[in-house]
Amino acid sequence: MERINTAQETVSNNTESRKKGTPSKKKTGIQKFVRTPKGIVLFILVILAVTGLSYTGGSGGIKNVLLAVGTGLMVDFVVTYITGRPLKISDGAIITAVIISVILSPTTSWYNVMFTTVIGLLSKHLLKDKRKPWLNPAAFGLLISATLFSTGESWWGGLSMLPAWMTILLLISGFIIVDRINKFPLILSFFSVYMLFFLIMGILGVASVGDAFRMPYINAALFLGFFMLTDPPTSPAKYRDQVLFGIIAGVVSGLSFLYISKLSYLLFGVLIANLWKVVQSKYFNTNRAKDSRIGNVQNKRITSE
Amino acid sequence: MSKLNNKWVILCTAAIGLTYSAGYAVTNTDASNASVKGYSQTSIQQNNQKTYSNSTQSGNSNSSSSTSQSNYKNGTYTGQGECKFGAVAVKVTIKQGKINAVEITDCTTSYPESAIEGLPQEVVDRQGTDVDNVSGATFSTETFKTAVMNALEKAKG
Repeated sequence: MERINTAQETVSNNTESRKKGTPSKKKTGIQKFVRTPKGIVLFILVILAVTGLSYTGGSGGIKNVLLAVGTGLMVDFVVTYITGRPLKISDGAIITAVIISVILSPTTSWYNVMFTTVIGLLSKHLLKDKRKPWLNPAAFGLLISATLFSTGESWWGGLSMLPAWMTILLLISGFIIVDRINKFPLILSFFSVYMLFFLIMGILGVASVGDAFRMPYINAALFLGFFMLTDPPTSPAKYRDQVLFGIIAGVVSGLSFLYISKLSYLLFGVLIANLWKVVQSKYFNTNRAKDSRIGNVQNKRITSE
Repeated sequence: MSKLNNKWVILCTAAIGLTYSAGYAVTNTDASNASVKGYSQTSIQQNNQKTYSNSTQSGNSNSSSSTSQSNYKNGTYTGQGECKFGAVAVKVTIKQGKINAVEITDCTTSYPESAIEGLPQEVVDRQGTDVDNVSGATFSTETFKTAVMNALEKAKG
């Protein structure tokens, strides 16, 4: 009886709201999408890109974003068609494309933008375990592009070209997304190791490590930490694994900064951590599962005896 | 999985902030030196640009550059240029008052050295810093030019 009353109340409320002309609370597809983790990431990336464009003058940055998104959608469309899966607009491809385009310098040539996006997305489809990619697609594309074609990176989406106080916007955006996808242990361990590593190097008097604490490098580190390192398919979910993942990314980034490249040091960090996650899930988790199975069998035997 | 306690998040964030501040302060000496260096180099660049503009006005840029070449003393000189993306260091060799060789000795800009590896030859060919801008590596090009100008200033004595 109560149920019927409640249903009737709802119907009458809806009728009243229609009569009064108040908008229905039914969510549209876009509203639903924006509430998903991917939707929030894309929404925040667009805000950062629009803000970052105030330096670049617009044309170069906008051109790169549109070009990368178009290329990304095309690549995913072709792959989906070939593999015979149902065709749809790939939100993952859009996010990867936007990340790539806001990291590349606005003056990057169109073919380099396309090449980077294609490589990144192909890695997502080719280097994978079941449906999970091994490596962060954007990081992989950028590393290959930087290595082969010396493609410039300015991380303008990380607001690296704007006044330092604008970094607050990046921090707030980052915390929102990290809270949403529950990756605080990962980024806290990454930033702790990153800061400690360069602090120790600074105390030891290693030349030029001060750059790591300053723009644009610190913005690049923040952007990578918040938006690339936390990519759910390529990062672990368990807290303990997240901490280890962040530590590996931090240490590898620091060592790469000193010994390999100041252009790609963060990319090395995220990709090596991604590989660690693959190794861990393939071998260590299997061992853990085996151990638990053996443990269960032994427990059963003990119980039966 | 339950979310990490907010207290832990705040505590860790504060600790990271403190470490960052300590790192910034510890490495501040280098940065302040760099900014002073950058300032002096900027002024050098401005002076050089004035020379170029004067030469353009007179309609004889070659004579202007040869005049400046004659002022160079033989030897090898080093120069540094810095921008917000990093630094470029060069070694310029002067022989018979002319730029004989330019070598990039260090490149720590966000753009890799390979992006500007053709510029030293352009400096030698053109006997000056009027090199082409490298697309996608504008900052590196400018930093390289500053470094060469810095070395050439030393060569003038």
